Amino acid sequence: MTPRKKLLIYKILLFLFAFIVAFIPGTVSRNMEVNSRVIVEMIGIDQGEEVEVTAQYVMPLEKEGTSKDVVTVKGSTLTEAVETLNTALGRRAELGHCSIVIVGKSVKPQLLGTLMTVTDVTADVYLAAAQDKASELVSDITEFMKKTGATDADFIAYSAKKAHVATTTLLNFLSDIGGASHTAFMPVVETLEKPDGSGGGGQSGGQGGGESASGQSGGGQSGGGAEEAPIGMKVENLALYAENGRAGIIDRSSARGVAWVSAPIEKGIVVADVQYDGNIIKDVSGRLIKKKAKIKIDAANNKATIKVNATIEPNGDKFNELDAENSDAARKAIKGAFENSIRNEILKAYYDAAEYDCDPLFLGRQFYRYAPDEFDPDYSVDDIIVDAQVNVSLK
Amino acid sequence: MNAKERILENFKTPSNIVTRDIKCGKASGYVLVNPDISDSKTVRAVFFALEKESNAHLKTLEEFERYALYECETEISSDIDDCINKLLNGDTLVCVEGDERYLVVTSRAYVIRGITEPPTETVMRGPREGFIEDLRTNLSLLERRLKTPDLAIEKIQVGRRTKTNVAICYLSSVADGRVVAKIKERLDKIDVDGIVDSHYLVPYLEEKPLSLFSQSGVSEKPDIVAAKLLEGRVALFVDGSPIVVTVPFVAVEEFQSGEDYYQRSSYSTFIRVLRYVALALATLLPGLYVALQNFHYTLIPVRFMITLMTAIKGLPLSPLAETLLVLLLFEIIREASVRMPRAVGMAMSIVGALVLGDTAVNAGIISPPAVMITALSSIALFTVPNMIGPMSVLRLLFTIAGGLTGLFGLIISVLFTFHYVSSLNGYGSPYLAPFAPLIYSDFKDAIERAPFRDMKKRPKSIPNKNPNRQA
Amino acid sequence: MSENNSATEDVKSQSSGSTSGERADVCEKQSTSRQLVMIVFIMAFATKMFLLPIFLIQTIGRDAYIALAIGGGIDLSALAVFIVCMVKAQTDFFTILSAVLGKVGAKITVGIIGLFLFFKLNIGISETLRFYSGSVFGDFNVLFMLVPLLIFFCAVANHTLRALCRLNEIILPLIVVCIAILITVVALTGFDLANIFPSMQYPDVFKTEAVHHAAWLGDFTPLVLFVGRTKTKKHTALFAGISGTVGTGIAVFFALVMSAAFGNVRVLVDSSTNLSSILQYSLGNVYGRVDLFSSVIWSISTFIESALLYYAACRCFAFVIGKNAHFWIALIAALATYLIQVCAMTDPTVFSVIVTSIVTSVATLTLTVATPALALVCTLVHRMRCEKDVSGGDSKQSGDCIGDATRRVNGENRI
Repeated sequence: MTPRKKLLIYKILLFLFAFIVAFIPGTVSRNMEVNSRVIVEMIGIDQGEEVEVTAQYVMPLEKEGTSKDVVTVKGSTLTEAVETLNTALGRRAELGHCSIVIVGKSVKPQLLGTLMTVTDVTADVYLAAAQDKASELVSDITEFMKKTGATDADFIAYSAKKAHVATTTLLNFLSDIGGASHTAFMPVVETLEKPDGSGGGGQSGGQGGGESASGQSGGGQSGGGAEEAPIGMKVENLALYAENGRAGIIDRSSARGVAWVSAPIEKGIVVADVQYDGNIIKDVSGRLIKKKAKIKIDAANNKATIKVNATIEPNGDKFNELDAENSDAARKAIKGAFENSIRNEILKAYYDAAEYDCDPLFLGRQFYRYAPDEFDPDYSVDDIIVDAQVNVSLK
Repeated sequence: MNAKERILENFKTPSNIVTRDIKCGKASGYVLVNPDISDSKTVRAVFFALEKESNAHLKTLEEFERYALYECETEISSDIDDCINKLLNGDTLVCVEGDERYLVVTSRAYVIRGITEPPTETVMRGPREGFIEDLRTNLSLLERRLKTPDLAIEKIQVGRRTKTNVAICYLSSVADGRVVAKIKERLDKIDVDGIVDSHYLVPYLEEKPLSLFSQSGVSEKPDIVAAKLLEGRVALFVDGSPIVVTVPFVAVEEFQSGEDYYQRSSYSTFIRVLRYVALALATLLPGLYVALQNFHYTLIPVRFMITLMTAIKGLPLSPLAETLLVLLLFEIIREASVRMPRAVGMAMSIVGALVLGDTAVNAGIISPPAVMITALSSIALFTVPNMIGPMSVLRLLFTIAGGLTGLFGLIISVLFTFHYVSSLNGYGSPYLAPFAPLIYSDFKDAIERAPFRDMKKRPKSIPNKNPNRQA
Repeated sequence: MSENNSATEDVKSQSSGSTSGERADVCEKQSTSRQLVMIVFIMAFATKMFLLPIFLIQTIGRDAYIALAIGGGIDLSALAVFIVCMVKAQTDFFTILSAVLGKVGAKITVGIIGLFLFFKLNIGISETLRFYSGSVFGDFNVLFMLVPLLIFFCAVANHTLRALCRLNEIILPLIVVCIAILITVVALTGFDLANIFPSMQYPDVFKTEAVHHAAWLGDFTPLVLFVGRTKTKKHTALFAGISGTVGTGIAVFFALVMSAAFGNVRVLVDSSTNLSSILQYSLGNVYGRVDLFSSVIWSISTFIESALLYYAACRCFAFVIGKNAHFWIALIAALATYLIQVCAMTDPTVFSVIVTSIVTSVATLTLTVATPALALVCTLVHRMRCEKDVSGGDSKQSGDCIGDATRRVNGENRI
């Protein structure tokens, strides 16, 4: 082919391309642009007769900054609800930037599976459970964020590894539910309301919990509290899920027991009562530096041994009181107390969860992985003999 | 028809040529001079010498040459076209009645400008000499740097009418003979009216003249040309042009500046890396920006996305149209400021930056991020001045690709471009060498600028006879 | 050292080719040893990393990586045979086939190989398009997006193998860096790989389902074009083998990670799920979707592999037709690909059914094994004949051994 001919063909192809660009619909459409989207940072899901989706969205303001707001929509299915959300927001909701999903009490795990497959919500979003309705919690969190300037679910992202809370992501949750233990968990997020009067009904803080630094409301909402923004968030308890939905909620110490074994935590606080020299020194605290947990199984005896190695840096006045720096005996006592405390938390987690027929320490999964032939898919948590061996190194 | 008329009949306006009758001894004849480009002193000396010998018994041109004009550089020629050419170049012709031959006396002289620092290749350190429009001066500048009998300077004439002198220079013991032969073959094939500048030769020398990418190097500095000859390249000097063309050419040359070799090697390496990064940024940034805004906003972190949404809120144009508009505005301003007289340049900048830029942003026609992206891209482009042309075009194409087909199209466009440049092979030098094909030894002067003592071999990407540069 | 010399060989052969006034593609050796090693690396993992792990996880579950490892092993065996061919071959594949099987036999064989390559090409493109439509684009207009891709392929088919090898050479470092980052991040973020246990719980399902995915085998088949056209060195075979093994290892590692992540929830995987989701899952989306950038960059490897398949298929068709009408062949192949891809994207289920049918799988598996075997047998027979002829002094036959370059100068069988 001569260069002239070749050039002519290239020109024809170029015109053809230009023609396609100009006339194929969709290529010049503007509804794909970023400006035609509304960023949703957090969604709440409730399930009853209908599926209810509450979205916390962020809008750029006319001059500077952004505004956050909440909208709740309903639909017979999740897909329908998300479509309705687009209509409600006037533009297409951008769910790819959603970083937290709040799950209501009645939501089934299957709905979360649908959420991952039919929407743009990514597998890595953090899950949090509401005590009851997710829509209320999303509204409260939004109010709290507006008030404090906190950004999208900073608290849960912080808690992921830096605090002693067992968090989970959407994919992790679904994978756990689909695993041999058929159990999954997610942290329960609660709001802290302003106590009635000046401290009435409030319980003083400083119990050593990483998150609940401020007081915890005992009496729920005060009159007219609906309009008032919460004064803080609390992430302590853990909601346990079985295949057919939420099985129950375990308290703080059990939740911490789950975190020791099943969550990739890197930081946290350990509190124990130390018996030394005939005295009991209460609430000696230490900071978790590093931990490693593994579960050993003995399929023949149906026995599981949880082994936890933790490096803890003791701190605080109580520790100084013991003069542990100069006394090996004191250090030994502290070490023993910490080990005992951790062990108790793990075992408590196991027994508390067993009440709901859940296995958040994934002992069943371990049996299934390494002794599949002896594994009974319908195993009962109570059948497993559990032991916890904790080894603490003080820094 | 006598010898004088035979010459003058070729001229449309014979009055351009001054003719004087002479009588020298027994012979009478004529002197023909082109006074505009002849050295008046030499011409005067010719007349004076002929006058002085008027009583002598000189009859033939040979006797004129031997006894009267022995101080001048002369030759006798019977080729009328050659003589006309020489007359047009400023030589003086002497002819006598009854002889059809001419005595050509070299008397060329024209006004040439002084040797100055070329504006396109200014340096902070290093030689400041630049080529000028005179071939002889240019060759002398080169010869002063390459004092070796190896330096071959072959002169040919190109252009039917302009008869432009072109000098092919190379180091015979270094340059590959096949490359030299190929260049000569290509130059011989040129059949054109005239060559007025070295750039006229470029399309004849390149294998793909329609290509967006230049396949021959240009330089205005003798130190750079000398260095290129030492690497085995061939330089083409064209009379009347201060630009010297060098072939073979590889893409990394665009990233090499003369000053790189006069600075510390570590700093030069850093600057070179910066140039590569800047060029990538310059060409891809607008396309990437449009692609992200149009299709891939999930890739943008949420904080940045909110900032972006605030900035582009309520814009009438689509991201692609907006970015193309800003790019075109920039190209127009740049072109205008290059062509503008310097005095108007300042006003131009004010109009460009303030009136067009600031006002358009305030009016909500274009957004600050688009202006910022274009400005960043354009400034980055200036780090590799030789590539401003092709990269400006590519940048526009990449922006369109990014705007219409997102990252998918952008990546394909980049692959397409790389594939195209991979296929360029001028004179046996792969255009993308030493990156494709990988030639590790040539990396010493590609991204890195190694110290001279480490550059023991000549680049393998340029065909050469003698690979060793130093022991 | 020897690798470095191979690059110089490229320059030298280039120099002799283009300075003598011929087009560059008349040079006998179009690829250097290093370029071959790099091409092998790309081909080992490119298409195996997109949809294959997904399909395997959907059907086999957490043992998907074992199936992929077995497939990779079959491909590596094919690679080993091709490498032997390259070392032993004295001329290019088409010439060898013509000499051994006769012209008609060679054309039929090359036609079948060409169709196989074209089929592989369509799988590759389909994977890439589905990755982009599922992960990178919210709204993917396949009718439009195919146009630039096919223009690129046509350009590749119109140029030489050398240009494609160089393109791969220049892009590969970028892909390697991205893969290294992906592996590092996935490895460092403490992913629970124990999820792949227990292994091989349902061997019967594994056997039945794994066979259905044989269409993804045969990634090294385009290497037939490198036979006799690669400047082999002392260690070419070793480096190419290592490169293929590392590439396959990467694909298996990613399949392993995917199996671990989705082994318990295989219903959740679809074409939009891939390694990028896993990376994001490891990183968390606090940093935005940085993972997609790296995924997009390693998707370039699929573009390059598809381009090579396109090039190889077009050259096979050109040989069958007996004309060097590369432009028109590329154009027709582009139109065919366009139609196939539009159908495949409009109804992915039908495409998947066809690709994973037992007939397709058996055919692919056969060709994957038969092509290198045939290449090896023909190469050895041809070599023996040549050696015999040279010692016997048969000038006509020995012309077949060395005469391909001369013929190509005359415009025949140009690869």
